[in-house]
Amino acid sequence: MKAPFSAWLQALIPDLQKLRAILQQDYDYVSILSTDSPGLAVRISQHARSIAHRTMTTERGTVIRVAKDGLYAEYAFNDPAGRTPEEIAAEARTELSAQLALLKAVNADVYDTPVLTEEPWEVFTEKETGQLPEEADLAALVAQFAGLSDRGKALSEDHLDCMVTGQSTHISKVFLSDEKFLRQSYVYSEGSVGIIAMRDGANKYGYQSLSGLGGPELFAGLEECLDKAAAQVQTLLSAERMVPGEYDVITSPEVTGLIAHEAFGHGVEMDMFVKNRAMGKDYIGKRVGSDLVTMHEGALCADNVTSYVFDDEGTPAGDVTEIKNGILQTGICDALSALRLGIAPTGNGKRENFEHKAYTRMTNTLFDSGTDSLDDMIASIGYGFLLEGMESGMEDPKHWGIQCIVQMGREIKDGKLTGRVFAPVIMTGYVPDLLGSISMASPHREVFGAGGCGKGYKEWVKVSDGGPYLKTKARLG
Amino acid sequence: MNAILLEELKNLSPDGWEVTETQTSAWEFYFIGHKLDQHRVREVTHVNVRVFRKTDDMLGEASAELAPTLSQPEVKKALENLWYEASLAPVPDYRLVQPAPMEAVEPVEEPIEVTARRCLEAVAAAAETAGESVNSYEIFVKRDTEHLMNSEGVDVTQQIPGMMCEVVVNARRGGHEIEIYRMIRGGLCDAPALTKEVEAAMRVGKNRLTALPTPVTGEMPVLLSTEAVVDVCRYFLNNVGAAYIYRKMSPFEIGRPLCEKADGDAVTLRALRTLPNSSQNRVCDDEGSPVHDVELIKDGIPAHYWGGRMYAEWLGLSDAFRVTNWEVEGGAQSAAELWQGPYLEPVEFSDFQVDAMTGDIFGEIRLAWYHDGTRMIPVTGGSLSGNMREAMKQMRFSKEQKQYDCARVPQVVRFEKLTVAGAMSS
Repeated sequence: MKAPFSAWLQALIPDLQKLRAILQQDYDYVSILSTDSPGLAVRISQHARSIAHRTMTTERGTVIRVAKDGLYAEYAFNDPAGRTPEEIAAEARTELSAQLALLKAVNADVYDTPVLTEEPWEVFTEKETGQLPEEADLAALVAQFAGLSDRGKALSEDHLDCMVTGQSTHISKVFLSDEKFLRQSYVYSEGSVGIIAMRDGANKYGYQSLSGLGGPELFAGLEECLDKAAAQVQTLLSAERMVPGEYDVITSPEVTGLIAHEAFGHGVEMDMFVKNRAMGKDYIGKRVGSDLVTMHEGALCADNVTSYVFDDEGTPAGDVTEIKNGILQTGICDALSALRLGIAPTGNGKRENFEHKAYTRMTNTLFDSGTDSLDDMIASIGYGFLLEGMESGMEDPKHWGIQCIVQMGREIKDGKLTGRVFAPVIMTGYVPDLLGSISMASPHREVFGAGGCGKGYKEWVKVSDGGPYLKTKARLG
Repeated sequence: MNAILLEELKNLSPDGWEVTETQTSAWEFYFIGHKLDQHRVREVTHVNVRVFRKTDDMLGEASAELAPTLSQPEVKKALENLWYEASLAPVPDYRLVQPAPMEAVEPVEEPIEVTARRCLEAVAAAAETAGESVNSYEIFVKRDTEHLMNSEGVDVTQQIPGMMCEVVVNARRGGHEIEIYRMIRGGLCDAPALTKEVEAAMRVGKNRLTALPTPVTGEMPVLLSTEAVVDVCRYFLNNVGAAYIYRKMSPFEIGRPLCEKADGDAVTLRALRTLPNSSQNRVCDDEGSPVHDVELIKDGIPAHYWGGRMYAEWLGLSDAFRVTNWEVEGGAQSAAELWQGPYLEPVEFSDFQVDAMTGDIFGEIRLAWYHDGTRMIPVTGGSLSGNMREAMKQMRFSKEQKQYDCARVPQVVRFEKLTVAGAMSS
């Protein structure tokens, strides 16, 4: 079925057009983004159950972007409360003018930016989905999740709890500007199984997730997640402490995705180029990885949680080749940063929601596949680790440091997995060293989209990332 | 409060309900260098509703955010759906928060534009040099007016101010430039403190310019003296939380020492009703339970648990609430006494973490002071790791405390043994 575009937004469009026309009289540029994205979150554990119509991306509201005399400003609201477009326009003008008066009082300089120029574009897209979160059979979902939780708890006496979650969001957005009239609707979902276990007074946590474009029908895959999470937590219970050092490692697709995201995901967000906060700016056309490293970024690169048709600034979705055979090609860019850099935007202007500013943000960030089998990769290692399970990462675009918290490292000795496991693992290093050491890549590639991504410590958005198994060298602790 | 919603709740008459309406007025300013990139206004209302349904000795809950634009028939339909959904999520029965006397928090009189101006002027006042300067900053100032009501008669309105300033500074020498990131939060703007924080970040940046690779030391004494101390102390806070205790995820228990044979300072942890200029100075928590001062851990022995109504009731805690402000008491020695002998003192991490459930400690070191007993050397790279369950046995706090928004913690914490994976090959 098609994910239907919001009837509420559709009915709002005439007022939005009127509001835009009124403001156009006072400003050099006016665009409006309105959103209506209902959702569903079901969480079942052995102790608690919750059904909530709230996910990371549920929202309903409007943001107006205006520009005058080289300065951009925004007014976000969600409660028209019977106000006419004229009244909303007047309030926006009053509030933004009050800010300008303050800025004048403190003698703030303006980062002079040209007016956005646009090509005419009209689009109406309703992407395919199996189900809608609004129409989910909640009784069946609760029964499924409760059954999984019970099974997960019963699998071992070590298991304290088994938490099963499923979230599904039906996104609808309309973007209006002088040249653009864009509407899109799609549904994405994500689910997870987490098992908490305790042995000898120590807690361990096994976690597996799924994600994709589509509705609650995707949660059928949670059965497989449960089996994997149970195996993972049992393995972690017998894990040893990692001896710090530099090792040959193979990264599983999930860890590969984390490296992609932290290394040359954040590292080539070009709003950071404008601020001179990313070393990548000086490395375009230069080598940053081995010949095996080719990396893509864009909403068109995969069908997952952030595979939209247009971004939150009305720019078409893209597929950017960031690194080709080890050479850094370009970065990704939002519309205002593109104007400042004199380049074209890439469809990566995203907001946490209508209340937040648009920044350059990632969508799907993926390493390309290779031709080496995982068995050959393991066989090639004298002593090292197969790294599995991603917990968190942190970017450092200015200095190209990288921090990845990985769930476990499986020991490899003389070309074979020994069965010994070390956990947790903190992988650190210098990005070009890490990517420059990549010597093998598998044909198999996976994409993961169950997590969130912040810019610094805020502005949380959905992203996905992934790639194949990679062999490289890394510092582990 | 949304009158339509209250009317429809009255018509539906569920077994229990809770509504929180938050009206936010916010001003935001974004700068590249000291040039204004963009300015923004937010005027939004968020209405969150929880509907409860009893079945025998069980209670189910379903919740949603209802857009303020919903019509009366839409509100009615949404509540009816929640009433049905609540029947699908039964848990053992518990009582919702009951009305109780609350001590008022000093009202916020300062207009939003005054707070915004103080922030703008505070960052601009930070002394820059040819070698150290502000790269970019973002200022967020807001006023939340929160109205909370429930079916038991709780009816509280409180105004909560918030200020957040994200600052990135650069330090450079020759062709080499580094950056330091800071996120400063509070209720209103403490302008002198904000200026001081930005200037301190620039000094840290200057030191990082001369940093050598972190040596491979294995286990060694480690001192923390930045916001990482809050992450360490939060481990104790989380583990006396009712949710952790009820789910048996915490190793702590009322009356039982946190660790046997400890050779360090005993932890004393308190929930506090208010802290100066905190963004969490509230009369009640987000369920309507009054907030007050209480000792959660006293001299290394858990004394009280804190938490939301559901887990608290299940544990038989009548006066528990969700902690808003908190502190960990200082230890026996001064910071100067802890800064003695060989140690590593990381002052910048990529992302320092203490896992509340496992106790694992992680952090990639961006800048640390390596003190070999006589010399102080700035170092960079490598990582810090360990586990709180072991590390707390030899943990010392400074007498002096420092406040980070809603947490007041010892200025310095010293662990006698954490693992340092250096940046240099051994």
